[in-house]
Amino acid sequence: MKKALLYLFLTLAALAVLFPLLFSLSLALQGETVSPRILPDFTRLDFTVFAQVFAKEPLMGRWIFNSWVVSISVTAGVLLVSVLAAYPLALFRFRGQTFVLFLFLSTLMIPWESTILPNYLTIALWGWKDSYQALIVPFLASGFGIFLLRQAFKTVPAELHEAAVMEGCGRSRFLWAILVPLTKPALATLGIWAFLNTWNQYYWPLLVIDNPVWRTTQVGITAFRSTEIASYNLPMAATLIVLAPTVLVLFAGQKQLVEGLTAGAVKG
Amino acid sequence: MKFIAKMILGTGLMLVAATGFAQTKVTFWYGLTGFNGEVVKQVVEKYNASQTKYLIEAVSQPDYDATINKLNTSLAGGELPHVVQVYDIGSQRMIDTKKVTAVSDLLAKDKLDIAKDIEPAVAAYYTIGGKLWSMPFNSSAPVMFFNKAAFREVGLDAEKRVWTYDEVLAAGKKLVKKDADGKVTRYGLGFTLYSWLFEQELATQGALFADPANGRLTRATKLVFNNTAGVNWLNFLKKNLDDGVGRSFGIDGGANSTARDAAFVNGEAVITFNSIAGLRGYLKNAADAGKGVEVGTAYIPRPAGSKGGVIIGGASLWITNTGSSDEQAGAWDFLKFTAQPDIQAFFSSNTGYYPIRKAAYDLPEMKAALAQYPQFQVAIDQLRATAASPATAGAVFGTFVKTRGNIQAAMEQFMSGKFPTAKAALDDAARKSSSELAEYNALTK
Repeated sequence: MKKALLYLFLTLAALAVLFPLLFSLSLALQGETVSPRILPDFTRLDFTVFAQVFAKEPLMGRWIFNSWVVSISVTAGVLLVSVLAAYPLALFRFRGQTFVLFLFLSTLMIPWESTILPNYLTIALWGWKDSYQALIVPFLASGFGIFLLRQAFKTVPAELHEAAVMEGCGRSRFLWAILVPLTKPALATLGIWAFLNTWNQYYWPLLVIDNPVWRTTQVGITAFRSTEIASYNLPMAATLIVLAPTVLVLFAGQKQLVEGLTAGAVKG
Repeated sequence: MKFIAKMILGTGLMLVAATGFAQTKVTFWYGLTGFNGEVVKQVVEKYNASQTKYLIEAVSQPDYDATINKLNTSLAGGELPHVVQVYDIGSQRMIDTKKVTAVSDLLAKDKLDIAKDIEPAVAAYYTIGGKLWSMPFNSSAPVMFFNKAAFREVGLDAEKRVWTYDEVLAAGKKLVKKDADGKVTRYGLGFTLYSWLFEQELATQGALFADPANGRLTRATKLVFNNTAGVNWLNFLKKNLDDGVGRSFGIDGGANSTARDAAFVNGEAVITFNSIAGLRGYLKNAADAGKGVEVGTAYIPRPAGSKGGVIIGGASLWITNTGSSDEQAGAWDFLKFTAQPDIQAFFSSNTGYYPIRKAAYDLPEMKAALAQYPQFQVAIDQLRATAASPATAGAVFGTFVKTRGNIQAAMEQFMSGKFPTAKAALDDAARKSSSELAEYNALTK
């Protein structure tokens, strides 16, 4: 009885969480209409809508691929740059350390909007418009990432570092073999943050990409909106197609993600 | 020696390449999306197939806002498209970029006299300071949509075209239906809070939106929409709400507009206001919904005795003065093509926008479309009945997007009772909008 109640509650919670996805699916399958209902008419589901998406925008697959390439590259780049920059700031003492730290931190105070134009001019000057590097390079260094990892590295007890040095462990070995595994949760957080931020970017890709081949999905799926009377089947189907790979990866990697998040919770 | 030989060979090859299959590429950005965007693509394909000298590379943009914002940022980098579709309210901003060539200058150079054949109201909208700046492309105006079947059911004249505010209110009272609990099941009027319609209602009453002369002769410096005409429209909408005959779906756009459209095609709101370009969507959806809604059109309502008309909305094609002379010639050639009567007839009959050329109406394709959609004739007649004046030409100024936001916010605050009077709400919006405009003008001088 108690178990049944629990499962009832869990089912309801799952439905609530999945509602946006299910609702999108429902809208996608109802055909071209301005008055969709919450649940579709199950006798006339329109599954051709997914084929219509690819028929209308044959580049759809390419856009999804672009989004993945860019998001993964930025995530890897941010992690690498942040780890290497945060390491000396957290564990060593050197001249100008505070200055460097504040220099990194001060980049957090500059609104992204005010950097758009200079960044755009640089990219245009280098002839990087319509390329992956235009979408990736401006985001490789992140003041937030460096600060987050510096704080995480600082939580590792100094004794550990001393003991490792005593045993003859070099600086790079300490970083990759001890520090990084110990701070997995912070790295996972930063990774997810960087991935989602990049995946959701809209204005920057719109600006530096003129040739539709290089578009990312966020810019690409706007092609499915209509100017006069709006119907939601195509936009929703396109959104689901874009979402599907992300959700699959999340399901597949959920276990590792949760393990990663709790890895450092109890000091081992 | 070898080097020089190579050089000569290389140059020779390049020359062959240049003369052999030299097609000048012309880039064209457009912001019309969805079904109508497909028709734009077809126009481009027609042009590319019609000649071999130029190749138009059409790049779709997410919407009109994104197009002009991207263009504005690109100004700094110097790489602009050769042709760009910009919405009605972006005209002043385009002129202020100082990177555009006025269409009237190009027409004069070609000694072309098509300006006379352009629909007068359309030409008036895109003529600023005496110059036709851009080539009108997709043009529309609002109409009053209504369900003819419901009108007949309660004994209203379904063929009447000109309705006053009082007549619409009286009709709404007859049309409203309630169930046993007193809950409204059918509203007389369903509307969104829409600045575009507000501007239209000012024009209908012959009132100015911006001073001096709507910015048509010299740069506009002040917003004056907080006049009697504006107050009349807000009070009309509020009266519909207060009398329980009308329903507001909130600020226009996105889900609110869809909710309004859904209420209309399902027969839950008998009257609504929208662009005539929405006609086909309404017809299709009303038929799909199967609730017996018969779509009819009339002029937008007005206070008794109003003598103005409607303002053109939509978008036009602008030529930038960047790129080689070949590219600019190609851009101009493409613009002339889009303005041909046969292309306008094709575009209009496939989308539901007005053709911009009068000659287009004589073509069989257009005649067939009018026979199929008699509701469209009402919109044409409404446009033709519009007396030319600065008020009906519409306002031009640089901060239109912000002003629309201010007006819609004021309308919402007035409807919800945050402002005691319509005048107070509009005064507030006008003050804000005027100061934003002053800032823009100071920066662009």
